[in-house]
Amino acid sequence: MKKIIFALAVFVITGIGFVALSNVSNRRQQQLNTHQADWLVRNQQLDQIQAEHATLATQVRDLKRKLQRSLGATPIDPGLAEFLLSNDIKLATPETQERILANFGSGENSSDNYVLVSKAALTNSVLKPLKNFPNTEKLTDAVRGVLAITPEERQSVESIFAEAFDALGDWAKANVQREAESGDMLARYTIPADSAFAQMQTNKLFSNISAVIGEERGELMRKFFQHNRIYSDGGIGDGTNILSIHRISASPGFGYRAGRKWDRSETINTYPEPIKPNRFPAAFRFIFPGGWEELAQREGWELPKDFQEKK
Amino acid sequence: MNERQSDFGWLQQFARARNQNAFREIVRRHIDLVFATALRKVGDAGGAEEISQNVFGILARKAWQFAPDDSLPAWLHKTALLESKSWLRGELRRRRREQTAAELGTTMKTSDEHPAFSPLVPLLDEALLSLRENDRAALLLRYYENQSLRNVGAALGVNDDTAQKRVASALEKLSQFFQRRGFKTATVAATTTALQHSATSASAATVSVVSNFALQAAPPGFVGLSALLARFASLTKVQTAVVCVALAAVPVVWKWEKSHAAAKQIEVLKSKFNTLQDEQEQAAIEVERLLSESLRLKKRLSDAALNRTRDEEVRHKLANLKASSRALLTSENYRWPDDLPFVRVPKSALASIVVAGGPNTPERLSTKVKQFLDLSPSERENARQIFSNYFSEIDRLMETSLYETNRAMSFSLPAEAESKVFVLLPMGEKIRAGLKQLSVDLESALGSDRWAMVKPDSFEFAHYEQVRLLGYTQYAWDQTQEVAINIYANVGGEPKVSWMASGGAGSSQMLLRSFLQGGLAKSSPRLSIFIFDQGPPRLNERVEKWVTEEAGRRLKTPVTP
Repeated sequence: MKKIIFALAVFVITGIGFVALSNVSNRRQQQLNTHQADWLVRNQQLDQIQAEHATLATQVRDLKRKLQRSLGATPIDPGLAEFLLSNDIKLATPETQERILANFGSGENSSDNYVLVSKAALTNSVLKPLKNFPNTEKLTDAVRGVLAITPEERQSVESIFAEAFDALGDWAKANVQREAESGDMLARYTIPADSAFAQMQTNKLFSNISAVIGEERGELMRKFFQHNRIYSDGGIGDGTNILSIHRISASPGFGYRAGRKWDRSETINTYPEPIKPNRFPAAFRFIFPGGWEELAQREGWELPKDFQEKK
Repeated sequence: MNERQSDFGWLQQFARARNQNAFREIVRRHIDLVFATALRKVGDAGGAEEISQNVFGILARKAWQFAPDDSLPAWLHKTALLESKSWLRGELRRRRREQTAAELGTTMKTSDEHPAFSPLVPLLDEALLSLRENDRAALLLRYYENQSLRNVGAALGVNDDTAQKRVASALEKLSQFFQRRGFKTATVAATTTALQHSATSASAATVSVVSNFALQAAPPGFVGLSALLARFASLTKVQTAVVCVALAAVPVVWKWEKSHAAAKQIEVLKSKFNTLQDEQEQAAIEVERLLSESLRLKKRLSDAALNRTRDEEVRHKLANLKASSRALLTSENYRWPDDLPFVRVPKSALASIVVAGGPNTPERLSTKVKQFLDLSPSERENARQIFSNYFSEIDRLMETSLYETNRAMSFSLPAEAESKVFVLLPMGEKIRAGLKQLSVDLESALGSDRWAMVKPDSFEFAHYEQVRLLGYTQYAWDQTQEVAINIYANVGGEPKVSWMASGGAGSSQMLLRSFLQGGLAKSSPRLSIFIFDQGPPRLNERVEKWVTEEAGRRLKTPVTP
């Protein structure tokens, strides 16, 4: 009997344990089921994502291929493209002009005799527009070639220059001053400054020229002229032109100091340089078209007989 | 113990294998105990024999229920008493029908030959039943089965001494039982005597009769559930506990295993779930990236399509522009192109062109080469490298030719001032050599024809480059130039500064604070109020930097003008 009670007790206790364990087990089973369900859902989601991934990967690969094909041609500089599409070519900046020229390709911008140059490069440059005395109104070959001056234009432009120089000569003759001999200085000629007159003359000159060759070339011509003016008209009116003749010991016995003075500065050589036949201050050509010989003749000095030979 | 084990062993043999000899042995061992007990109760040898048959019959049926730790003598004694009562009740009913109750009482009266213990005898079994099973078993073995103390000890699982003590203790308890019932003479000795005198031996015939009866009354062999129960009943308590626990543990373990398996599966699933989640996150990120890339590519593709259209338009425009521009090169009736940004320039005129309106220097020549010669990209790069090499060399030359000292060679330094002398070594020759090399390299790179188009007048080239690098004092190009900066401490007043240069140029003393960073000189070029305008730019920079630093160092804080 005791054994049966003992056995029953054991079975009751283990029964309780069994029930408790059953509960735990059931709970775990439920959890397991939930997890399995979640896992399945996740699996399905992952499958979907992976399918989406595969689709997208294919799509991206295709797009890359298409893009590669699309970009096959050499791309055009975006800035340049933007400009060409939306602006007048005449408004191209110097940099854009250079980029366009580079875009034409090497060897494409020149021929045997000519080279294509941007107008900007030309604007940033100068060249001698007029020939030397006595042809100071004549255009140089270089300027005629660069500015594409036609024979008709050339004739007109040279006439305009000639008229302008005549006017300057008249004004210079009317305004030149002479100082008498002092010490070793034999004489001193001064053409005074008159910037208003000079400005008016220059404006008139290039107004006339622009009327013939157009504004663009007219401006270039003006720039070339201004830069080389000292060789043409000596810059009459812009500043005071000075020429002093000195007796010097060195051959040919005469020396000169020449140059210009402005309000605050001057460009006059400090010591007299010996005179030379082909180096006569341009401003004073209007007074002495024959140069040193005419000046000496007028002043009554006698130049050495071999003066002309010492060029 | 041996006795007990032996009893259990014989019972096992009988219960399992129906071994009749085993049962006979049990009957032989314990018949006296049973018979004597029955005889005491019923006072009739025939009745005692009948009761003995019944008791052993019950034993034969319940043999399977015995466990090793059960005391068979105690069980037999108790069962004999119960059977005796039962017999007496039956006998009483029978005799009532046949005789009067008084006659029965006379029949059952026990002998009173031993008056000292005889009053105890009727209560002896009740007294024995009041004892604990082990004590009762000890007395039954010792007195009714006439076992030695050794056998008693062995049967009880104790040694001889303990057996003796237990027997004595049991006798004492028995004696006390009687005394509590009012038997003042019930000493231990009297009790012992009562026990000894109440023991009776059954005859050999009785043994045989009882054995046969019991064996006949025994059920057939145990099979199936009965066998299992018999098996169970024959287990010790510990074994029973083990079996019960084992039996109970099976479903528990099964459940636990199930639960554990579920838990493990949950863990595995969790781990898988986490891995899956990571994979999913990674995949989601990747999808996001691909989506973004796809969108970007689509946009690029769309842009590319637009760009292609646009590029085609641009290419078309460029082609037109190129055609019309190139037409300028070959036109026999060339006119200034008002509608184009390009013009053609006769190559013969290139030599006359001066870039940037200034005298020719390597910098301007570089621009002219780039803009007026139709160079291929490689030629352009080559020319760029040649100019770059030239400028690097000139920079290096300037650096190595300029040094600082505190002694002047071409003039005397003022004794009251602290002077720093900047010395520029003659550089004209090296500059001219550099220019010559530049010309040679360019002619080689461009070819003689193109070089002739841009080649500057060599004298002008060298002259203006030296002007650019060394200033306008051309006479100094091939001489060492020195500039001294003199700083006067001017005790009690502000520090002052003056400069001196080769050739006798110099300045008066000026306030040093004028040269503080952000000082007086800030708004005007410092060198125009300080050092010669026409000095080498690099020298001027160096001097100016030094004076500024020195002013800062000496004046610490700017002095308010």
